[in-house]
Amino acid sequence: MVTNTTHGRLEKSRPWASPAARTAAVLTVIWAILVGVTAGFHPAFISRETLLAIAFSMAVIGVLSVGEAVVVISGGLLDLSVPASTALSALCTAVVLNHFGSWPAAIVGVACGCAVGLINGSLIVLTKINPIVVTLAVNFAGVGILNMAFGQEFPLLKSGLHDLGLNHLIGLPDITWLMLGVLFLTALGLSQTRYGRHAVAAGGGSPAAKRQGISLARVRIATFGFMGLCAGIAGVLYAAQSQLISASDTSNLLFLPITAVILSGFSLQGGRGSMLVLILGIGLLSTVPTSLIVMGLTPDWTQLAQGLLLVFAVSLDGFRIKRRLR
Amino acid sequence: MTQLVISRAQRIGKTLVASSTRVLIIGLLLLIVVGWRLEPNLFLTKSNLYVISSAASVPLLITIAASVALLAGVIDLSVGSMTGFGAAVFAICIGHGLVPFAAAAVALICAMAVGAFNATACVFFGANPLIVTLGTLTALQGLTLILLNNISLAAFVPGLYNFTNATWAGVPVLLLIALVFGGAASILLAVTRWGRHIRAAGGDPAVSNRAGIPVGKLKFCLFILTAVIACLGGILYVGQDGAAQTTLGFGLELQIYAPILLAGYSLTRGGVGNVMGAVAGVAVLEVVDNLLNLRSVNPYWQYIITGAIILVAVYADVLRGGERYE
Repeated sequence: MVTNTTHGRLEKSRPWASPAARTAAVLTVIWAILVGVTAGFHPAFISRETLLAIAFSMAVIGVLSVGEAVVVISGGLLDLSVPASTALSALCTAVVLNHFGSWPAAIVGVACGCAVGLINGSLIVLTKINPIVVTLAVNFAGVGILNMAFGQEFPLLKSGLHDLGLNHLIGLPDITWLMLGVLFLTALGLSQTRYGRHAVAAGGGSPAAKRQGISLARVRIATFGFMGLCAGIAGVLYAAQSQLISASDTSNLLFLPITAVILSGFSLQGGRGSMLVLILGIGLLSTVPTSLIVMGLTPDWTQLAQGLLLVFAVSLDGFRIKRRLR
Repeated sequence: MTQLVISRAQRIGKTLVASSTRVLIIGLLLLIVVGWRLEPNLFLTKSNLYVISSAASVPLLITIAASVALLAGVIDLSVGSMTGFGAAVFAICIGHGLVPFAAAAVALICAMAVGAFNATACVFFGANPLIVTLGTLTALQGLTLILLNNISLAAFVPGLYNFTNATWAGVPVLLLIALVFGGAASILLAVTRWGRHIRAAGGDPAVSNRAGIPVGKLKFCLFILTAVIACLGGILYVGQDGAAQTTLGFGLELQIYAPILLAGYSLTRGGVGNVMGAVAGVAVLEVVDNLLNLRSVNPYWQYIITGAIILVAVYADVLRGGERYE
C-alpha cells in the first residue's frame, strides 16, 4: 500500500513514520518534560488531586477543542466566539436548573450554544465574510449582551447536574469520560459518515469539493453549528462544576482549545489532522495552567503563557503551510 | 470601465478623499444634528466638545498609524494592550527615578521588540496576523498585569501632564498634532514612492515582490511602527491620567479598527482605503460614544454597536469586491 506524504513523495505505508505519529511523539515528550519539570520543583504535583484538577479542566477544554477541530479541518479557519457561546450556555443552564431541574437545564444549555453556532454559520454563508472576523464580532456583541442580561454572578443550586460534575468513574471524573465520548464519536463521524468526509473534503480544497457537488454553504452551517453544539456541552459541563457563574468567566477558554487543535497537527489550511493526536494536545494544554499554578505563579502568568503558546502554534502552522507550498 | 488612464492630479485627489469618506462625513453631520436634537443643552457646548476632542486625540494618533499599516496588509490587534504595556513600562521606569525621556526610550524599545515579535511570526513564518496579534494581545495583557502587580501605578510627570492637557485656541494640542500627523501621512502616501510601495505591497504582495518592492521588510517596519505609536499613546495616557491604569487599553483595538473598517479599509487585502477616511471614522465613533455617555446608556451597548459596525463595514468591503469567503 502506498500513501502520499506531506512532502509529496510516495512512500511505503509506515504508520509510525506518518506526520500524525511524529506530532504525537513530540507532544508526548513535551508533556512529559512539563510534568517532569513541575514535579521537580514541587514533588506534590504528582498526586491524585492534581490529576483530578487537570482532568476537570480537560473536560471543558476538550469538548471545545473537538468543536474547533471540526471547524479547522473543514477549512472554516477558526471560531473565536467560544467565550460568548459557552457563557450563554452556562448561564442559561444555571437559570433553568434553578427552576426546572437538571435535564431541561442541560438540554436548554446545549441548544443555546448550538443557536450561536448556527448564527455564526448563517452569517458566514450569507455575507461571505471571513469566519475569523464574523466570530470575533459575534463574540464582542455577545459578551456585551450577556453582561447586560446577566449583570451579576449567578448562584447554582445543588442538583443532579452537580453530581455529574463531581462523580468519578475508574479514577477519572464523569465529565472527562463524557468529553472522551464526544471526541471518539466525532472522530468516527468524520471518518465513517458521508457528512464527515464531505466536511474534510471541503477543507482539503474548497474548489475541488465544490466541483464534486458538495455544498460548501451546508458544510459551513453544519460545522459551525457543531462547534456551537460543543460550546453548549462545554457550557453545561462548566456549570456542572461551579457554584457561581458570571458572564466574563469564560474569556480564558478561547485560546487553549485553539492552541491544542493547531499543535495537534490540524492545519488552518484545512483538510488535515488526527482526532487521536488531539487527545494528547488537549492533555498538554490543560496541564499548562495547573502546572503554572502549582509553581506558585499568578493567573496573569497563565494569560501570558496562553498568548505566547497561541502565537507559537500559529507560527509553526504558517511555517508548515509555507514549506508545503514551496 | 470608461476611463483607463487617469491624470496624476486625479489619482492624488482620489487617494486623498474617497467616496466612503464622503459618506462618513455626511454621517458625522447627521449624528451632530441628532445629538443636538436629543441633548440640546449638553451636546454642542464648549466643554462637551472639549471632552470629545481630548478623548479622541490618542486613539486618533494610533488609528492613523494602524491605518497606514493596514494599507500594506498589516493588521495588529495587539495595539490595545500595547498601549497599556507601554504605559506600565514608562510608569515603572519613572518610579525607578529615570528621566522622562529615558523612561520613554525604554518603553519605545520594548514596543519595538514586541512589534518585531509580531512581524517575525506574521512575515517570516507566514502566520495569520489576526490570530497572532490576538495572541500577543492576551500575552501583553498578562505581562502588563505581572509588571504592575495587578495595581495601577501612579507616575506624575509635570512636563508631560502640561503637554497632554495643553490647548491652542480651545483645541487640545494633542488633537492638532494627531490631525497634522494624519494629513502628513495621507499626503506622503499619495505623492511619494514609499507611499505607492505600501499600497502595492498590500494590494498584491506576490506581484509587488516580483516588481522589486521589499514587501517583507516593508511589513516588518510597519509592524514596528504600529507598536511604537501605540506605546507612545500609552505614554501620553500616563501624562493625562498621572498613572498607568491596569485596565488601560482594554478593547482599544476595536475602537481603533472599527473606524478604519468604516473608512473602507479591508481586513483581508491591503491597498484600499485612505487615511482621511479613518480620521472621519474616529470622529463618528467618538461622537456616538459621547452621545451614549450623555444619555447614560448601559456601557455594554458600545460592545454591541462595535460588533455590528465591524460586521457591516466588512460586509460592505465584500460587496465592493473584497475577498469572498466560501
